[in-house]
Amino acid sequence: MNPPPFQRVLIANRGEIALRVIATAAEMGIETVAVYSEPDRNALHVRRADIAICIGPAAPSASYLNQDRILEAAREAGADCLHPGYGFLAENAAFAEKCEAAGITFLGPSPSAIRAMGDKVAARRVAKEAGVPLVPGLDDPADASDLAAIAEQIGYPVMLKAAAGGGGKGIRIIRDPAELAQAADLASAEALAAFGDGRVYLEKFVTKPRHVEVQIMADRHGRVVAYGERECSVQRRHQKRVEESPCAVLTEELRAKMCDAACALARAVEYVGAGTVEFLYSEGEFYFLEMNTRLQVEHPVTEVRFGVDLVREQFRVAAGEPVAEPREPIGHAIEVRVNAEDPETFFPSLGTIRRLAPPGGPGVRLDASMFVGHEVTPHYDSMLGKLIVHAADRGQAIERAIRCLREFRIVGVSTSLPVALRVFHSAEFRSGDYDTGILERIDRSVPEVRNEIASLAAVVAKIQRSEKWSAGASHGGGESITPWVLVDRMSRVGGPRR
Amino acid sequence: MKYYTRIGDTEREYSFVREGDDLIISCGDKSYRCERSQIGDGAVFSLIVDGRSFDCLVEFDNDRAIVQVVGERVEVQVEDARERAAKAVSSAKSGGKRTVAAAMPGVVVSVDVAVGDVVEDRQTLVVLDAMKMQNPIGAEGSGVVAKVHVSEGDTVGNGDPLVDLVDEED
Repeated sequence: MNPPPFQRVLIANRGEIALRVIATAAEMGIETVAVYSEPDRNALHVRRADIAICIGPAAPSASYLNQDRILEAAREAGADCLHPGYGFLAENAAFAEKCEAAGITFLGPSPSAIRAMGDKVAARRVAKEAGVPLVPGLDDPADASDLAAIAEQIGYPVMLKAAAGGGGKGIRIIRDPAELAQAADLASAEALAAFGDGRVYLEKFVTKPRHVEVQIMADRHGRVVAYGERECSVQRRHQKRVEESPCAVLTEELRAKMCDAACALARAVEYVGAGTVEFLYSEGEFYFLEMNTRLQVEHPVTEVRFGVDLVREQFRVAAGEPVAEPREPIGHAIEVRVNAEDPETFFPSLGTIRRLAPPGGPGVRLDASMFVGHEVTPHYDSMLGKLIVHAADRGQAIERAIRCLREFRIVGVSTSLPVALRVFHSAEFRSGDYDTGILERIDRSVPEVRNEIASLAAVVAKIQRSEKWSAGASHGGGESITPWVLVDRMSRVGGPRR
Repeated sequence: MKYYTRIGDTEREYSFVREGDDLIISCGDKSYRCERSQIGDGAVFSLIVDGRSFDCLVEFDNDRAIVQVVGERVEVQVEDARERAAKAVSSAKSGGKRTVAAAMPGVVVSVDVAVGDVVEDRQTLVVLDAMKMQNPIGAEGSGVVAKVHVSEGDTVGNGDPLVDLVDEED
């Protein structure tokens, strides 16, 4: 066996991703250093690491984003490398620089690559130069009068937006030249009034958009490999809920093109480590969206299909070892995010997990940070973990996911699991022909037959309770509180609660 | 004794008889032969309904049962006839006063109602900022705002009262 490439890794993160890194590090013989905020004292990543250092109070700015404190902890613990996970400091070029300056290997790309991809305008420019397709449109804003010819070239429908706008303001969708003539003047006038700049952008309007991304891994010797794609179109407000691999509608030819484009982009910025290139896919075409210069939440769907440990690969390439050629992928994988939230309103659900019965059996993987006694607090995001299933084909993977959701029990907080069940039962998802609007469209209400059994179960449980009380009261002796008194007390302390 | 459940707007009324270890439960024109077998402390039980097996988990929070079965998590309001009668008495005494409380700690972003306002079921009363999300807190059932306990910018803890509602007078 090879000696480990590093002695000790500090994980500058929390939750399931910290556990994910600890798992691989432990298997590689690398000691692990957890950092944690005060409310995370009992978190699993603290308990599973070899060394644990408290870095401050709950507020991320005072703990998980506190660069100086984290570097101090790394020195204190004698860490020779640092894994940033995702979120927090994972895409912070200045922090990556500080790590290098402190002699600690940052398990990610170079600061310059993080910077190049972090700036959306610069990233578009790099992508264009590398021959990666972009959504057809104007590179520079134009006056409203010049638009007709360009729109003709791009092809209708097109999207018109204010050059100075943002956040969806002043966006118009235009279906033909007559509409354009009218809309351009209006949009220009509106943009002038709203932003003091009358210039507008024109872009192809992408119908039925799907979010498809490519996983890449690059070494220090200029070699880049792609591990196929992940489809992440089941999302709400850009928060992904369900991911799958492969994408059900991608042809071999398009897949190869998409992977080549992702690798070309990585080469253009001399990328090292794990990265994800996100594309917008629409009816046979794909366009560059952005590159995430880190490990993604949904990386396990790639891992199970390709039989690869991407975290191990991160350690290996950071130590200067060459990337390995990916094997031929096997079967179909689906990931379900387990969020503590109300399945109807999507509001976060706080509380303490009192019971936990995770699914098991063939083709099941659970990457989760929850445990019985885990308190879900408002300080951090609501993800408790991820369920990943792997099966021979897409149909079997869907059925396996449904089977697991029926086994999975979490008591103490509401979770997003019933929503995932609705997705897997929906005709739209099952057909494979869906887009980022799917969660808005599907019926999320619990089917009546399921309510019928839930109602019956509640009555059976209630009968048991009521009868027990009656039995206790009828003995006369030991039981001093009769059901009547108890009911009255409960109605006084009760009242509507949510 | 009769039992009542409510899921959303759907109410069901049940009655039952015992036949050996089985419960024969009737609801409207439906009848279910139920056999219940307790697992551990009782929140988990195996339920066989007319031969079909269901693995159930039911936890009570006052009159609210949180039921997990067939992959669903359903909140069921459930009460027996005695509780229903007791509630009717106490509701009459208090004029139907009920308090909407914060279900999570957070900061009040806005108060959308004032004393005297008539509100509908699920109408937003207060918006709470918690977990980096804005959470509208709605009325449970229609009524009239009797008291507002909070104002914009207040920090509230779990269970703190937000708004009192009373029944609308006819």
